[in-house]
Amino acid sequence: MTAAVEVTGLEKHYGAVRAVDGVTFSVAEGEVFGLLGHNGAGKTTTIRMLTGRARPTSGRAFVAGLDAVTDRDRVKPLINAVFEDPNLYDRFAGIENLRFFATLYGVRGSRADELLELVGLRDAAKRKAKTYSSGMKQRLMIARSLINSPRVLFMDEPTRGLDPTSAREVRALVAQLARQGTTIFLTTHYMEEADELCTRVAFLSQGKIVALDAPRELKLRYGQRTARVLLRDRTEHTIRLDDPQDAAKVADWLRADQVLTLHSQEGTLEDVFVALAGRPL
Amino acid sequence: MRLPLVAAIFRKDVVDAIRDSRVLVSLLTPLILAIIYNSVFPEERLFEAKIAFVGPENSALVRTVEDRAGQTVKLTLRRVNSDADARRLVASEDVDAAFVLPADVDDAVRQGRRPTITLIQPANGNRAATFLSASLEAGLRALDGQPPIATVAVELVQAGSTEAGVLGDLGPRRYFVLATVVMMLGMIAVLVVPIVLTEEAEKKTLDALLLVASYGEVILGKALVGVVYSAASIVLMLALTRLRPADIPTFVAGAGVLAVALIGLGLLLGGVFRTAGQVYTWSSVLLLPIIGPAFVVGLPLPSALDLALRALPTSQGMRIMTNGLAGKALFNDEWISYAVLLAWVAIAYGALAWRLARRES
Repeated sequence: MTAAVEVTGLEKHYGAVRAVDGVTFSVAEGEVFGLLGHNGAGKTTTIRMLTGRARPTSGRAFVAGLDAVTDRDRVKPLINAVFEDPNLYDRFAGIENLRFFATLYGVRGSRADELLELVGLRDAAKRKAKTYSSGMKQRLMIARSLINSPRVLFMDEPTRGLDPTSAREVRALVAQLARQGTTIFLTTHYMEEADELCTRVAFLSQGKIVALDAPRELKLRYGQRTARVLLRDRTEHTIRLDDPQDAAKVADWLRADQVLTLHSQEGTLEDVFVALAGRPL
Repeated sequence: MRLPLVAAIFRKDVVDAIRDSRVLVSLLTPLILAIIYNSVFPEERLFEAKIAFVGPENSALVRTVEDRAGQTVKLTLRRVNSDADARRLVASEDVDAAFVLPADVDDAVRQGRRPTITLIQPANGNRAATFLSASLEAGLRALDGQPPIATVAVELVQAGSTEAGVLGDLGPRRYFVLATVVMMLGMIAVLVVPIVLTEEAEKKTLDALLLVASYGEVILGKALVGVVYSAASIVLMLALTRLRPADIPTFVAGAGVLAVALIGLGLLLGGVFRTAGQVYTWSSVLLLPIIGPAFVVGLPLPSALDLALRALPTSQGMRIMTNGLAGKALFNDEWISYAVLLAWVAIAYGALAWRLARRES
């Protein structure tokens, strides 16, 4: 499969600080790729370099098969981004925000109406962006990012600061885009979000990638092979799945109808991150 | 450079700036000030001329003198009965000058009879006599059917005057209205333009813009906003204050180069500062050296201060625009003014390019 993003030894230094320190990875076409890490881990800097807004100190980055530095002008029409902070023209209506970018990308104006419909903002099209709620602003930014039908969409913390309902709506939109074949490069603090949306994730710590794989594989690799059993007498037991004696115990409880609940404890991405980075997100 | 992108950014910013109350206030302040100056100071005239004449009241030459006075000479024309009366009035300084026309002067000129017209003036001359002489000359040529060979511009110089006489030559109304025009250019450059740019960075809309456009295209779009606002404001101010530059090309050239230089400085401010608050803080400091010179150019100043002011773009822009407004060189060495302004253009845009290159890297 063709790589939508191909990064080799990418570095970005700000004086003595190595914001991104030799990262290498690739993202396949149609993949939802998650880049996870603490604040200051280098996620946003990586996106800035991949979207042509910052020059790498060293290393190579290809986006949609083109060099992100030397072919920057050819890369731009093929990508778009949703930013960490709401960055809309507040004094412009929702539809005006989209039409302005439609003009910049040379896209027909009716695309703006289609996208407002897609993100559920048709009724608020003529309202100024400053009157939008956080969730509406985020949806408008997603609509804006789709104005040029990008091959690769960069999403920097797309649900940060949103209430649970708005965050769920945004995640549903991302999943919908992924189903339609858009390659999505996602950074997030929320491990559940990455687990739900991403086909693969990379953990970034102090500018370096410390793990990269499918969420399930990472959880299996770094999680515990245990299960938690709650019995009718309200006692809880942790059993090891690879211990024959524990397996026999569970079988006995099941036969005696003693088991109220049984939960596997394969671990979460958060556990994996703590194991790798030494502290939680 | 993709011009459609520049045009789209320009159009967006023109609309956005109009909706921004801070921008409106920046534009309205000098506009209101110009209207106040225009109302407070009376209609200026260059000088007052009291002239007596002997001869037919309906002569074309008399009408020519009246016509040439126009709005710039406050003319008092008085008919007397004899040459002796005219000489007596000039001698007693009741009038500044006088002229004596033969009874059939108009026909005599047309028929080529070469009549004698006497101009009576004080021995040491005066501006009214010069004006009268030029007017009669023009009137005689017109009567004779001769097209003017050239236009003779009468320059009135006060003995011992220097550039300090600019206020007097231009008149306070025109001088201060012109100063507010320059003030408007400064306000647009130092307040409007940087805010238009800084707000993009502060609200991070610049990130979205840079996904499709280059820094250069964004900057050019913003610069065009400044240029168009400057041009529209000047036209509006001149229309509202009925100020008519006598030498339009010089006036436009001075205003244009000054606007480009100041807009470059404004863009530099926008490139240096990250928030509109910072821009406001520092712009208010910079407004004094940028706007201040417009109100003191040509006034008597200590030589050191005068020299320092001459290094500033507004000072030189005001000099060129003053010449353009007056239609004559009230300030000499116009090329020095252009050179100083162009140096500021180079400094501002060079520093801006350096700053943007740093930001991009």
